[in-house]
Amino acid sequence: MSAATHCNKDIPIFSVSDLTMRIAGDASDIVERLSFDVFPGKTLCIVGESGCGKSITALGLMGLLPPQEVAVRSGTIRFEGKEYLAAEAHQARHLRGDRLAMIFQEPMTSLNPSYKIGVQIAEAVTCHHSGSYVDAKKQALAMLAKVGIPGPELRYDEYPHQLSGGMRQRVMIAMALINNPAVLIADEPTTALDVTIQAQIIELICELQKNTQMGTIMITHDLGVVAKLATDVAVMYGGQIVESGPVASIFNAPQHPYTIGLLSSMPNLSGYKERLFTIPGTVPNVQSMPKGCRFSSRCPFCSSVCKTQPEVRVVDDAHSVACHFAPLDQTLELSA
Amino acid sequence: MNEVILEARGLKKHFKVKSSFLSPPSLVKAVDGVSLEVHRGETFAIVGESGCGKSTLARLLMHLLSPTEGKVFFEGVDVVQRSGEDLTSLRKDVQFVFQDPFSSLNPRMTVGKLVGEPLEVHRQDLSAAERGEKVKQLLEQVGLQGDHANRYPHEFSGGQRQRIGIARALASGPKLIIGDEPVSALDVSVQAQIVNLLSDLRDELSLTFIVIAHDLSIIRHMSDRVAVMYLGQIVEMGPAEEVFSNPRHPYTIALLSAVPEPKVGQQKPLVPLMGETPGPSASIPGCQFNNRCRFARDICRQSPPKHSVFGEQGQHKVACHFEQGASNQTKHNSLSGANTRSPQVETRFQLYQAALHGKKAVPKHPNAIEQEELT
Repeated sequence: MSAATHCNKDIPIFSVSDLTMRIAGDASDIVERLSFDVFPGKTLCIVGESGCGKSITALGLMGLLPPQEVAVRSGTIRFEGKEYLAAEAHQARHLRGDRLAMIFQEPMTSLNPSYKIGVQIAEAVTCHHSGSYVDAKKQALAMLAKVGIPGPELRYDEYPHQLSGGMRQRVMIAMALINNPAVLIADEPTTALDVTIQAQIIELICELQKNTQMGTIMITHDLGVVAKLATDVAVMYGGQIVESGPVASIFNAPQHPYTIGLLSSMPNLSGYKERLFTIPGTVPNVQSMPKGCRFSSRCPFCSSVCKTQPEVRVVDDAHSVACHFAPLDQTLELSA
Repeated sequence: MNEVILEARGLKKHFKVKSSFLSPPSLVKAVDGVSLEVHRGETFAIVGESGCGKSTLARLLMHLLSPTEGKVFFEGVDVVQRSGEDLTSLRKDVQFVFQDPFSSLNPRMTVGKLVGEPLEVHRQDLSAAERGEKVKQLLEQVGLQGDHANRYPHEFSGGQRQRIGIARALASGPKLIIGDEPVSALDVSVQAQIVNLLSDLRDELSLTFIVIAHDLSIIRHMSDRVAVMYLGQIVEMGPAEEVFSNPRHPYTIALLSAVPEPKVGQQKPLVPLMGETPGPSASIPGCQFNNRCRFARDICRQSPPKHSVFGEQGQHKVACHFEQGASNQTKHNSLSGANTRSPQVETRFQLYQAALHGKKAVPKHPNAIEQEELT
């Protein structure tokens, strides 16, 4: 199943199939049988609450997890026509920061405080390409200008603590994009920022993506950001993708009770102000994940059939869902 | 409803910050001339970006910090002059809920001890057994179980910890609760639970809330009146519906347009905001916002604007020289509430909401589902 077969004219630039990961010592998997495709110039948003395994997925795909602590039990990654095992991702050092780049959530902790930001950006060039440092510096300066940092020559010699949060995130973006990556993984790039700065960063990512046609995997919990950026959405719960499809179908015709609950608990800026609907309870941790459907412990429709794992079904044009009762309006009714 | 419970007059808090050994200290004007009134029984929200001074203002209002200038009156009595036992009795009436439920609870104390601690100070007439009973009752009031009192904070999730923080604030029987970003550290689904809990408690116990937040859509949901802060000053203040549907200050307009809404296919025009919030020690002559405002003219760089008053009973206050010009531009900005969901999808949402309210949903064709499972 692919998350975005509606644009099958294009070939996915990055595909993941059947990715399963487990933290050493745990009894069950933290990420289970994830599969999705990323297409050039498109954005796949992975949405979910904290603890659903979205960040560990990103780190796993980048090969940034220590193999002795997190076991990749299955899964293959197909990237630019080459196929390799997800378990070997940590060996793909030549790809990281070159063809495959990542932006992290907290720009202060992911920049080295004791190096000038310009040097940190230029390092990405000198690591992957032969050439002089002078050339790398030239490229870094051009990149700083491209991400909208005023006075790149002056800023080049500054340290991370001299920049504001928004500026630091721009530096992270410059560093990730300097080698023209084919795929960018962004892990909550705007969560730590103010709304006005968030709007600027989102515009910037959109614009750069349009110019370079890179595929983007955006990880977020903010449905507003998803509606603005995504072409495709995958909703994660408890380490599984419970629903995926084009962004319009997810927002306008959601199928899974979790997606419906998530959308009804979002406060709105316009329209009638009514009491928020919630999802009862909290996300269970990996040890106490219910058997069968992992959402069953919080689902108002849970019944005996939910003790078995629901199959992923395609319901409508690339829109697929893992729920026994989908679509709810056709299978369920209120008892009198 | 119109009785004033808390009033601030010309409140200022300036911090001296010494950057290096030789240079003279610079002055950070965290709060710079704020006047406001909070009415009994309402939820009053203070919104602004990081560094605008909203947390400092909250701490000033309950005298956790002493103001450089200005006065705060709680039920007509000056708060700043209070000390000793007088201040303790103020603490009984005004309580604080902190942002981060992970760092605001002592990890070495049981939940019972944490919630009981304010009772030990403010209700010394209670015996230990009565206190234990009261703690149980408080925990149940915030949606936890009475026997949770013997557990430690690390055994709870973020949302449950925030409930403990709320129970602790309720313990002394306050009239006013100040929440500094009470829900922003929580997940969306849990955030909605806490927002609902707070509004239930307000109605049940006839509390007054002052809520500080940066998330505008949550503020719209929770509050009756809103104050928008920028660089230590209130730039716009008024009834929440009025401020959100008809914002008049260019900063409020830009702030509202920057919030991404969870709706697909409804693009709202982004009102660009140039640059970033200036550093807190920057001194800007005239209107504080003039270097980022697209309507700025000479007068904005020379004299600070006065609050002009709009709306019925003059409740909507705006500090801008050209609020008329700015608000005319926003008309196209309000989203049409067009519903793009089909009736079938609406049924799904209704089913979900009915099921949450305890109604039972049953399969239409019980056999159909079982057969599907078998194949």
